[in-house]
Amino acid sequence: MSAQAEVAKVVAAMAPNQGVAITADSSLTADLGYDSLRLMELTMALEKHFELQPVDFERAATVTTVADVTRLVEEAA
Amino acid sequence: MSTILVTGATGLVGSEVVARLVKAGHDVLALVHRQQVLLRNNGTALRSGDVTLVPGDVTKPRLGLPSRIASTVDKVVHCAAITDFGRAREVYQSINVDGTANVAELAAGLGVPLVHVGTAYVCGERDGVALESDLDVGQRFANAYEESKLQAETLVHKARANGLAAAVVRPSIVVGAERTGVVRDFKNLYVVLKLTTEGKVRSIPGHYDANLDLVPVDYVADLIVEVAERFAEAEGKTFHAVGKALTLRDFSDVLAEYPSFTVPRFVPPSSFDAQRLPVGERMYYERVASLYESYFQRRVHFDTSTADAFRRRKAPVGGQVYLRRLLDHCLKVGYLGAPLPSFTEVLSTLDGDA
Repeated sequence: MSAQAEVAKVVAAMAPNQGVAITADSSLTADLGYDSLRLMELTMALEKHFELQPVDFERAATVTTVADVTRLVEEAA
Repeated sequence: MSTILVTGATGLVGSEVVARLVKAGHDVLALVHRQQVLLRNNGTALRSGDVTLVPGDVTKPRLGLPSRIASTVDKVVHCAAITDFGRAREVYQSINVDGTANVAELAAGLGVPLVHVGTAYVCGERDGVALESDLDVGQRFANAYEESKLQAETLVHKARANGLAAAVVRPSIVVGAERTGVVRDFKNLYVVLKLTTEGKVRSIPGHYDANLDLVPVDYVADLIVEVAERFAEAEGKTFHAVGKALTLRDFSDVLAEYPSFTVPRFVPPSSFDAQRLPVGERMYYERVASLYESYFQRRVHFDTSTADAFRRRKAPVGGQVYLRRLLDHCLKVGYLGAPLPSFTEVLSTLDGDA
């Protein structure tokens, strides 16, 4: 599975809004229902799932779409 | 009636301050930065005809305001601040400290009064009574936020010594409205409340006799507006805008009344070791709950003599009655009581698929 597909799977599974079709452009907050706490939880899930270095809070706060999350994961890998 | 510039106008406290000043008939210039809509605490938008939105930025000299706008200002109420915990030190420095320096300079340059909104937690990590007249007493700080707010308030004091007319209002932990518990943003303490009542964080280093001071957002806004409107009486003074402190014992007793809540255990800090927690809980603790840990250990009481002698607004109801209102609101809107699975639970279902 590509990194992007694997990231999308985690983002979908963690999303407050379930059953929403996910694309790279899906908005984490508007489409998937993430709030700041759930975004923090998503960061923890990604770190554990992809065995990443701890993600900087200020960096994590800049993500708004699924594509941004994929970039974040690639950076921290 | 006067023209009042309000910074942080889109914030939880700022928007309520703006609404009250507008209602009292003032011309309000609401400094807005990223967000351009003023939502009151109850979620209703302020009508654009009632308030003038002025784009600006507290991190810029004169807040980036053109002088034709700045020159109309009669008074400044400075609500802008980063109040989240866990942000980078530079963020607090630039917005809370340098931002306040810019606001104080603008007010001094215009020769108009400044109402600065600080925090009662400039008291730092200490037990006992914190006076409104206390400022830098060599206290240690729990976090960069508190430290930045002390630096900001110190700047206001220095500006005052140089002739700026200023008053300071120091709220404690700002939460939902006094009578309804309604709150627009679930931040800070609400997040800890969520993680603990959902069982994601089960133990926190703390003392059952530590106390938390929660204050209703409407009371804070009322007091700030009183200070702005009766500035001649308030000048040079500092006012604690606080509620009635609840011990963690009181807090736990109320949480236990709710069948859907997990009640966190407060364990003596000396015997708490995050490394011994299961990995999921440890991450929730380290990334979120630990940022607030100091608030579960302090036994501080905020003296309110100056505020009590000044305010006409009644002191807020506090205690367990008020805490229940806050929790009931959280349940009503689904913020609490309907937990999402923890990230470790989610990951284990994914691993099961693989």
